[in-house]
Amino acid sequence: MVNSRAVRDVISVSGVVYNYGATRALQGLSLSFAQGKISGLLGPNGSGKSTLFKLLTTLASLQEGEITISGLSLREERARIRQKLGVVFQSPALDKKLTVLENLRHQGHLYGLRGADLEQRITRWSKTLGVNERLGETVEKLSGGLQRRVEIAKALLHDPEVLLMDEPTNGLDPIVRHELWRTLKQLQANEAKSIILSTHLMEEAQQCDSLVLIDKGRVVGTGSPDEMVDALGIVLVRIEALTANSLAEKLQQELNLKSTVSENRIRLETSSLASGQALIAQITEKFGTEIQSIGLAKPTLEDVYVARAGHDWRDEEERTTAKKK
Amino acid sequence: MSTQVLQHNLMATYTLWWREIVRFLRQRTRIIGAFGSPVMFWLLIGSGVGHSFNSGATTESVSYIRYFYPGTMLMIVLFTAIFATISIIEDRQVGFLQGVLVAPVSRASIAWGKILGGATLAIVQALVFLIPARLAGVPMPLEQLPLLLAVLVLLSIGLTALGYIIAWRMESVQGFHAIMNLFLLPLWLLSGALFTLDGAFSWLRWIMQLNPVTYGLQVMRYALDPDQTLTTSYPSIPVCLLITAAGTLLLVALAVWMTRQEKV
Repeated sequence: MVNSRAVRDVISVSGVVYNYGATRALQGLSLSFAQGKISGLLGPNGSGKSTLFKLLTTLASLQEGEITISGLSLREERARIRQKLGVVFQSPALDKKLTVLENLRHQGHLYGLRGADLEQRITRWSKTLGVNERLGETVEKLSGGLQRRVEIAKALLHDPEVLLMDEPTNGLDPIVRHELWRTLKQLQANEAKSIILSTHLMEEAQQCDSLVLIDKGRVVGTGSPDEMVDALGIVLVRIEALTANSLAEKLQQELNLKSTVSENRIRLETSSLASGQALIAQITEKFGTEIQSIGLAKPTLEDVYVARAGHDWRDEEERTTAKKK
Repeated sequence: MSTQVLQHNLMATYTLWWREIVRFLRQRTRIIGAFGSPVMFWLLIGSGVGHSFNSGATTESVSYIRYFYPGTMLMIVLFTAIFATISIIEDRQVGFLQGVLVAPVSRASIAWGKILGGATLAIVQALVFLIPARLAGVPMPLEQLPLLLAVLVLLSIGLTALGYIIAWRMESVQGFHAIMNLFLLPLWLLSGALFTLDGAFSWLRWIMQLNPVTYGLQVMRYALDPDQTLTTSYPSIPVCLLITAAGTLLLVALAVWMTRQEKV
């Protein structure tokens, strides 16, 4: 039975726990993605994005909790759910020895499409994604950006309700990334697709209609990027100093200012522009010789992450990298 | 299973099979390696060993190069089938396999597509190797051709399934090669391809008798060269064929079972 929430939310995740042996990757995760929107799953490497992606794409089985996709239970209706999903993986899932057309036909056959219907769909999506003139070329001859477009065409061939994308712009240069985003916006506007993508890039997350912020396998924030930034209700004072850690200690001891340090940058929170300016004057007067630059800044999604997760984004990525080593 | 679902799954098997064939044909080095290496191996070992040692295989009427012919054909089948499955590791590394696994098709159809693809390549290459048979004095009676085809199909499917099982859990191509040298090469060496069961030490004979490939090769040898199979150490040809069929069935069932496990 499809309830009203499931109609509004194309994907609903409730109390999902996932363990890799003794390591808990998802800790009772609950979130939802709205229908017809571009939704982002933002978190540093190792936050649990990939695990959630594996669950949503049916590559992994649910251990605890529930997930519904288009009103269907992932636990009970995996086969029907697969028909409703278009998946774009982080690594290119194309056979480079085959032509674009052959890759698309191969995909069509996997989704039960054939004959004139399949050919029409190939024509339609290859035109929409701008690869219709490259159908006869082997994929290995295409640029990274074009390969990504072919992958999206491939994922859309069976007309899925939801397009799931795992770090889709990974390894692409900024121009191609921009083009890809334009394509995604067009897909959302013209084809009414629900697009859900995972990313660890702030500038990419900023373009989503809504975001779920994830840290250590739990949700630490939801909302539109602007809403989340505005909800912080803070203005930032950013300081660059060669001896950032020592300066941060002095700020704490002498001015009773609590700050966070990342590399040579110090970040201070204040409630308004006026108080920020006053703080800058005070810090410059006392520690001017130790400062390379100081100024006011609007919070970013990274600041939202710091505020919600309670630690720096880079710290988490470094911790994950070290763990992998 | 409804007709529509069955058709869909068959279509998936077909498209995965087709991909294996096209990929092979587009990789020239694979074609050269697949045909060139075994022929070279056969000529060098067949000629060299035949004149240097007595392997217990040769008689006055059967030269070593003739004895070694079915063994070379088995090598073609084994190596083509096994190498075809290396692509599973590469497909997983680049994400292609995950793309197939999220499609709404049965896991069995995925396993069958891959296995039949590798097996087809192995069968075709083995059949091409029939061309020099007469040069080596292998009689290859035409009435035995159906039996030869049957055993080639069974061995090709079974050995591709074996490669599939090994590749499915492998993280790297290097690891696959290590397993191949440690396990698959002895599987061929101890099948009677290079020396006869009768001429081997008793402990080696035991191992050879436990090797299911031994029985497939015996059928192949019988189909190609009936005069060579006058040995008392093997069961009858129908029993050998049955053992080969049972082994193939078991390996395919295991491959399908592994594909159903969600580890990717």
